[in-house]
Amino acid sequence: MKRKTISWRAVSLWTGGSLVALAVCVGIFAPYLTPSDPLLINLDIRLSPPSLHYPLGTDQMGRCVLSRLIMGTRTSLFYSMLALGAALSISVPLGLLAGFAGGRTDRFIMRTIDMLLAFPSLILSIAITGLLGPSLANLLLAFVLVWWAGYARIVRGIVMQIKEKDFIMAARSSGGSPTQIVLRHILPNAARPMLVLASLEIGTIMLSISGLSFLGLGSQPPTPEWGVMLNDSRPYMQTIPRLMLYPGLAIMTVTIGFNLLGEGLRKRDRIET
Amino acid sequence: MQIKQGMTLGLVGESGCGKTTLSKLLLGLEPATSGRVTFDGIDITGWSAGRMRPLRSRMQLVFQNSVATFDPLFTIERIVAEPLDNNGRLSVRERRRAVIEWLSLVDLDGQVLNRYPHELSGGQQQRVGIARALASRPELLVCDEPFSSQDFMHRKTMLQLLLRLKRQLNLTYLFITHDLSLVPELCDEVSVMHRGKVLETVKGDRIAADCNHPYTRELWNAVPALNPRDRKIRF
Repeated sequence: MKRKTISWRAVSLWTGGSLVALAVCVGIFAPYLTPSDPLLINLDIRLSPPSLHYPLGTDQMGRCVLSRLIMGTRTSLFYSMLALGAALSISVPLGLLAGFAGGRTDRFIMRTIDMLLAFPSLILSIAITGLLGPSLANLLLAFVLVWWAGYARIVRGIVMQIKEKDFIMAARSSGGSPTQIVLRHILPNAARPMLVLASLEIGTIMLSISGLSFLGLGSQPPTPEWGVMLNDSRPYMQTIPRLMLYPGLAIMTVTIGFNLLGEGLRKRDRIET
Repeated sequence: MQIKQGMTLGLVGESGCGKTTLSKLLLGLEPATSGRVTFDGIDITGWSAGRMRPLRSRMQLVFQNSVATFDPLFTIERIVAEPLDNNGRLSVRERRRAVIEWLSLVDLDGQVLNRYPHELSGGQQQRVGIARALASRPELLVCDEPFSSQDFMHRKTMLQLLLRLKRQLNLTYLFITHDLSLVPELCDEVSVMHRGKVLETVKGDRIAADCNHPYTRELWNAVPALNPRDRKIRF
């Protein structure tokens, strides 16, 4: 029984890790990997089936689908990471503060978070993007504003767990100031579980960004982005389903990759969510 | 209860009677619900953490289970150097020299500097705990069952170590233990605790003769004797 769980964790860690590594590599080297220009419109060959020159065929504008998928990796990954980074830079300090200070500070921060969490996050992002006007930058902003709350709550939980450890009391008794204790002991010890949980979340972020782009709120055509590609191919769902299948599979693969990686890391570190 | 400078006060009582809580009260790590705590003539009852901080270095704690009190991400060098880092910066070399000095005082050599706490044996961990406490240059050292997790050979060497340090550094000890057999040779006086109250305080070497409270007698009689015929409690 025990052996089985361990091997499953390793499988999930390595499968996820390689999927993510592959996606990141594709994202970084995207311009060198595309067989043709992802933005080049050629209406003569629109909706053509896969061929040697266009391995996955062309879309409704005659653009190479494979090239658009490859460039889309870049957009999707880059913006997901950016969103994660921005959300972390809000949620980590606030979570640390709430968890460590406790008392009134904690209650104030937590009630703010509860308020944000009370709204369905997708609808809130849609509302904010609707107000600011649809663009990828505004989508990111909306997303970060909504999403930091949940993560700050998790960070607070991690911090409160570490705060009760004996070595924090030892640090206090050796005369460390609260700032020293947070920076020296709590943050480094919280970093690992926080990163693990972040890797679990990034799949969700990517899915949401693609989803909002699909709704027309994120990146705008002709930027190659998986959600936009899904949306573009919607009219052809019945006649040429492969056009929807490719970006859908891409989103699914990378999301699963991140989730497996996060899950594998989480089990290795025995972190409870 | 009172600890005079330079003496060793033992604090005994059964598990869970509040010995550790009392020591945390003394060190201002936990708020007192009643009673007063004074240190060097200053009433420190209910002081805030910020107010306490300058006093902290004068009283230090050696924990029951040292390894839990070390940050698992820290090397031994950083652990022992933490009190030094709290007040003012030292150069890397000065810091290392100071750490080696404190470690040698507890009979550990410089080899352990770059190890992590879980790589050390229980006895070594306990010594590192003492070295860290000493690095604050305390006057009062509270030892909370510092060798309850060790075998009797180690207990003896640790006991000698603590006695030597006391002489060398002119320390005052509050020695918390549930093992009364240590009391006569170690403590000048001993306070007996039961259910969160100090029952009585007697001279350490007179504990068998002078105790008044029946609980003290009971506790003393529970100490295992070497010769089964000398056992005070029959099973």
